[in-house]
Amino acid sequence: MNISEIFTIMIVLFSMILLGYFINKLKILDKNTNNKLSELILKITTPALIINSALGQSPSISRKEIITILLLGIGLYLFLIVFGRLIVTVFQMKGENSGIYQLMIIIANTGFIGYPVLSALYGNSSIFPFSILHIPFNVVLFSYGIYITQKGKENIKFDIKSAVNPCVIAALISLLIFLLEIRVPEIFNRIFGLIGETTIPLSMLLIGSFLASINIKDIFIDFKIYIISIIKLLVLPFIMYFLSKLIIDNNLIIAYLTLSVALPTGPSIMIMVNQYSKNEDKAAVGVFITTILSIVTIPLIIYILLV
Amino acid sequence: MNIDALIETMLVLFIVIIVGYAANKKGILDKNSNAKLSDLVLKITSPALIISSVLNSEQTGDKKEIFNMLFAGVILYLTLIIISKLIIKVFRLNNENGAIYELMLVFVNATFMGYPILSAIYGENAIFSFSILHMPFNILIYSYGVYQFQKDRTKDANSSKDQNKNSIDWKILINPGIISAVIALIIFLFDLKFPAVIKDAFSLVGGATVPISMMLIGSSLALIPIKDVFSDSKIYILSAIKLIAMPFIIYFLSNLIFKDEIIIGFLTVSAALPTASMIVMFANQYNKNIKSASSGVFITTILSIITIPLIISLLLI
Repeated sequence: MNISEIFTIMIVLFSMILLGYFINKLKILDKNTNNKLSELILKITTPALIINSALGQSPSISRKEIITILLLGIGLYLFLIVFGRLIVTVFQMKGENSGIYQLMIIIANTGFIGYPVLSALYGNSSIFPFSILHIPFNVVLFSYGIYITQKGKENIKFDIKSAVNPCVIAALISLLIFLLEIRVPEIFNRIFGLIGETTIPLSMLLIGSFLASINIKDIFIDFKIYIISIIKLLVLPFIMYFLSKLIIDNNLIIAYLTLSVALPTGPSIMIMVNQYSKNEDKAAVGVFITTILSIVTIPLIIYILLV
Repeated sequence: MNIDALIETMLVLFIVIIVGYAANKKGILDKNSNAKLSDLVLKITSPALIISSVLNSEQTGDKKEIFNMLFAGVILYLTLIIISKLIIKVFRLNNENGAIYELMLVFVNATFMGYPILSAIYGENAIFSFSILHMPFNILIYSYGVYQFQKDRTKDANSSKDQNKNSIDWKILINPGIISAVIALIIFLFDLKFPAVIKDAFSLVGGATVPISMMLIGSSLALIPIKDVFSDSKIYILSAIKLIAMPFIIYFLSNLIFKDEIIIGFLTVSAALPTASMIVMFANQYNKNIKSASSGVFITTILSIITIPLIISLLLI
């Protein structure tokens, strides 16, 4: 892929985010519809996209690679947890917001930004391995995420059900389809394709609309959030890139890993923080800033490391 | 044209409709988000689809054919109005729901059902021509459609004082559907060329139209109570006329006027489409019988999944 192609893709995605922003300002979308739309994307279109990707997969990736990716995913999230702790220790970000800072580093926006960028860059076939890589996401979010945002309080509960969402189920089904080489009639491929392909435009519009509706009282609420954002979006991808180069020599897998950590903080952090009564505004600012900055940093990372 | 491919397409569309139905029943979509999403389709994605269709059409097509389409569209809607009036008279359907019955026969679901079917049969390029053909839709539904609903109201003494409030708002004629068709027409007539970035952006946004439309149809059907669907027995007669008699009449009439097979095909498919869901919206706005309107949309939409391939295989292959 050449630079001008990547440039084109990024401008297209960016202009759709902008469009989503204006759509919200024009009141075509609102906060309630944003919620419904994100449910539609996470429960229906993205799972369809993942399965569609697995159905058309077999020639492009081997079983060994998929198993490697599955294991790398676990490694990735363990690394992120350690890295997050390290950062808050080094920058002395202790206290009640420490959990938010750590989650900002760990929780990436794989759903709304990861899949669209990946599919635009590497085609639909990349969705399936990427979903396998991020199987641990929900487990980490609903166990470690709750643990660090709720630390010091009693009744820490981990509900296994909350870790199993439609995207994880779709990833597991895809894994079965792939490993057992299940063949289905062409029509299923078309159905999953038709529903799945809305993920990209809907996600981008939603991100724009989300940025327009996000409730930020003060964007300069906390200087430390800027430090975390820079570390997350620029430092971490470089570290991940060179680390993964040491472990594997598959360029595509290195790209998946690098892109995974180049993504902005995901909105699910707000659910976590909101639900467990931490500083919600801070989390919202974190999502807002990393998302805006990622519009510049993701193409930069791709340009420097992956072209 | 391949009938197997068409049946497969109808099946795919039908299943996506069911997914939308299930999404509504599961609470993922609701009445409010349906309204917002259909706004999104009508104002953003389908205008993008129309423009992307002309941006990505490879051949700098026959300009004369597009003017024929424009002309055919005017003829189509005039004919539909006249035939509908006749049918209402002949079948003595001129009761208090007369306006709804008439509009059910005239206004077809060109965006939500027409575009997917057209692009399955004739390819993506067809969207642009089809949008030109249906340019009168947006003008008529806000003039003739509103007039039909108001006409009945004047007979109704109680509501005559609401007259002013319900006068036709001409500004509404300038809507994204019309604007995008005009822009597409200009791009086409002047052979304007655009960089890949713009083409890609329009086709990505426009590409969401078909799947979202189908899910929306399913989600809207889920909101109609089943007992309402069977509340008005006249709807059955009308649905049969709409889905079977209409396309035959339009097919034979268009064979008399036009020689171009594509135009004849477009006109026949247009007449075979189910009733536009906008009718329900209007019925709601003008306090008409919403049950009859919803039932008409529901029944014609469900039946069209079978009748459209049937009509196409009988007449167009």
